[in-house]
Amino acid sequence: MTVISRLRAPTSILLKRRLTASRNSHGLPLAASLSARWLSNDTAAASNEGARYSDVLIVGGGVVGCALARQLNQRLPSLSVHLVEARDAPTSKPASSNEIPHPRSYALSPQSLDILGLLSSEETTSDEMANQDVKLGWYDAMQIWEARNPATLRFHADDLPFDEAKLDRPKMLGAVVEDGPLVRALWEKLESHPQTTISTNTTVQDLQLSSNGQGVVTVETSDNEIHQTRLLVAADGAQSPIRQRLGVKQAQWDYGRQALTFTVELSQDDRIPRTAYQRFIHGQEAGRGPLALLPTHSPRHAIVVWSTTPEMVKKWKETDDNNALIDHLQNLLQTGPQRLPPLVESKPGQVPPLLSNVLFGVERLLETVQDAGAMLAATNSRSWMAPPKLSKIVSPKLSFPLACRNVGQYHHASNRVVLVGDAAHTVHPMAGQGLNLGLGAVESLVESIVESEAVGMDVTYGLDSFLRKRHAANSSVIMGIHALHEIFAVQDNVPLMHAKSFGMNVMQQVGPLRRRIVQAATQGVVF
Amino acid sequence: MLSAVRQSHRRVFNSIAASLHRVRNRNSYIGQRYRGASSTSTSISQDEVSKFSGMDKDWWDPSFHPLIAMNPIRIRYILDIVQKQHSATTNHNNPNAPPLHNFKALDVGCGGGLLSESLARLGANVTAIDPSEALVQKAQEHAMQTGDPRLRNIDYRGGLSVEELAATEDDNHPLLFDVVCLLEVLEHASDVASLVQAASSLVKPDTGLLFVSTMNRTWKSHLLTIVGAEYIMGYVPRGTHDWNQYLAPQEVAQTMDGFGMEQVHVSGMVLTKPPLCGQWDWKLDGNDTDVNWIGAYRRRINPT
Repeated sequence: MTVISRLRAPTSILLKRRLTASRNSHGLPLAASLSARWLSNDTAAASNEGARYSDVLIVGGGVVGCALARQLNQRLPSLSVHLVEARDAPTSKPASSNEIPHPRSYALSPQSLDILGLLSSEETTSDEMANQDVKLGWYDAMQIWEARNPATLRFHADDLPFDEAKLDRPKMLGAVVEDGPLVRALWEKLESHPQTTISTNTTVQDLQLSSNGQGVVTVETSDNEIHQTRLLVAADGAQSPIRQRLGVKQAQWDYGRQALTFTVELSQDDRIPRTAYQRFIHGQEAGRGPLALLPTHSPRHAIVVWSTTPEMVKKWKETDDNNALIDHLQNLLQTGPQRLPPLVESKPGQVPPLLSNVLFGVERLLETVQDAGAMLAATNSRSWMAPPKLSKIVSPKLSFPLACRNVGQYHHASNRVVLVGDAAHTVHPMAGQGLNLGLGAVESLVESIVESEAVGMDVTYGLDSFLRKRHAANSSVIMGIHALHEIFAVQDNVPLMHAKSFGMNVMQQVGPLRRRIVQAATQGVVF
Repeated sequence: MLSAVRQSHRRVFNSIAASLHRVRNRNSYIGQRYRGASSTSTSISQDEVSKFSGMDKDWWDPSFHPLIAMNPIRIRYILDIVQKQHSATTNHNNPNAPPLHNFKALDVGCGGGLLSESLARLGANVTAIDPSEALVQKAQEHAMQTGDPRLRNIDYRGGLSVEELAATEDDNHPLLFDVVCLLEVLEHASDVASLVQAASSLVKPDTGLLFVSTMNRTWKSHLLTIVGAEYIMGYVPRGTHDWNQYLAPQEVAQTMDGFGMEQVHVSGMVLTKPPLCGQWDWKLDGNDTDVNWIGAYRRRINPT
């Protein structure tokens, strides 16, 4: 009883503790000092009468949290799982089936679709998620280009290795999936599982670690419940209160950019080519940054994701003149690749006639080299293709800030607390990898728990090696995306632009390299 | 500093010299160890009890890693043998039932409860005994602390030898187990024969299994476990092991034979790579029983 009363610390003390947390440079000593103050006797806490026990406690009922709970239910049905969600349960299917896809959607790799049980295969049972509930806006090609660069990158599912086991599936690079139906479908499965319990409209008020790290984690929630768990998983989003509470530091690059996203109706009545488009925009007035046009499950709709300056996002989000926005984007998307500015600018009169002739020759030669890529691409029918035309905006315009963040490791506090999803890392949306990274970590976590359960070890056993490997793999992807963003942000440095164009041509024309990149992006194969 | 090094070298040398002496007198040595076998004696060595009771604080410390990392393959071995033994006799109605569901298991020399906890998580009803009261209390605390409900029913009994446990059984209520484990215990016992006799009397006659794991008495095991692990690398405290207490699989099989037990299977346990950076990665190796080994025994069907 004394422990419970000590748990309900007044808010002022909590606040003070959080302030200390922000000043503390090391993550773990904070937890240690806390537990020392709070908990003198571990066994007293373990025999805490009013506490609810669960083997795994997941905070956050988004896609990552739900996917983890679902995977645990499927692989280890006897394991008890408790899910804490700050919001309401997802509403059941709307009566009028709305065909317009919501812009809150994710680009998922085939591997992620597999983890979520969204790919039909021969072993599909009635237990699997029905595909009609969650619709896939799959794509088998990807086109990336810039206006002032003759090179175009065009990746196709044909670059993926032949896999006999997946012949019945559409060959795809990925699929766009709406958040709402996906979470709803996962949630329904969780609710029907006997070993899974869910608290909605509940937040974590405080958490407490045992002094030696071996014991259970005690969590106090806003519904005045005390939970005890062997493994606390924080899937509570980019602003993760649990991460902040533990004082875990993140490496961070703020892009000073925001993303604007909405659903558009296409003007043509024919089907959208199953292609994801991405154009890099330069120039202040156009709104620098990548502009993506993604296919959806509806052939008449596509989702626009425009990552640009906060001023641009504010201007276009607040405007009532949606037609002006459509015209602006139409213009950007319909502009194909153009010539590069000359590497060596020859100004008549400044150099002697003979040298200027040589310079002119060098310039032409360089231009030929750079254009050769585009010409080769045309012969392989991999040249630039104009995206479908946009007609009107048919959804609310949403915006979110962009940053690249990453924690040093996913497991903390003697492996009893794990950070997954946005709580651990966020990336620029240009590569569409954010959720894929989170689901990859979910897969590793489940794999580790399955292995330790098979030999009767505690869940913490083996967690370290599994998550360390996944963290290394994910971090290289995060750094890769960050580097790509920086490369494409280059716009005034002419030699660098030439180098980039040359690099893109090499990437496009060298088959093995291109295939390797496509595999890395879709199957989580790391170089 | 130098004198300390010299001293440690001298201790290594003395230890090796003593071992060599023992090897030369092997036959008489085994006789001497087994001579004490009688029904009333206990196999507990008081020196060992006080040595391990002193370790109760750091038993679950990850720095005690060699044994924690070895546990999964010991469990894999036990599950493998149990499944082979029971595949014909039992058919699980519930496919979700844990592999040792409804099994009665005895962990002799449970220490901090490493093996007992694993067996309990896999569904067994575990009785765990250890001569050290302090260690058993620590084990009990640890089981409660981890919060896992499957660990609440482990029957921990401190200060109890297997002979004393066996003495409590009477003909009307025989105390019998499906699985009896003597893992990493023989090398710490003062009277192996008495221990094996008592343990084998607790094994269910038809389907019960007795598991033993210990270290073989070879030059390789001396080099690796005493010189390497204790003196050079300091992975385990010096004096944890006494090479003279190690036993070869043949010796154990012979002792078992004397108490009506036959060997089912024996396998070596080897490290896949040198344990650098604290990474202990064990695997079962049927051919290499030179250092660590594990074996399974059962009651002979027709005692001769």
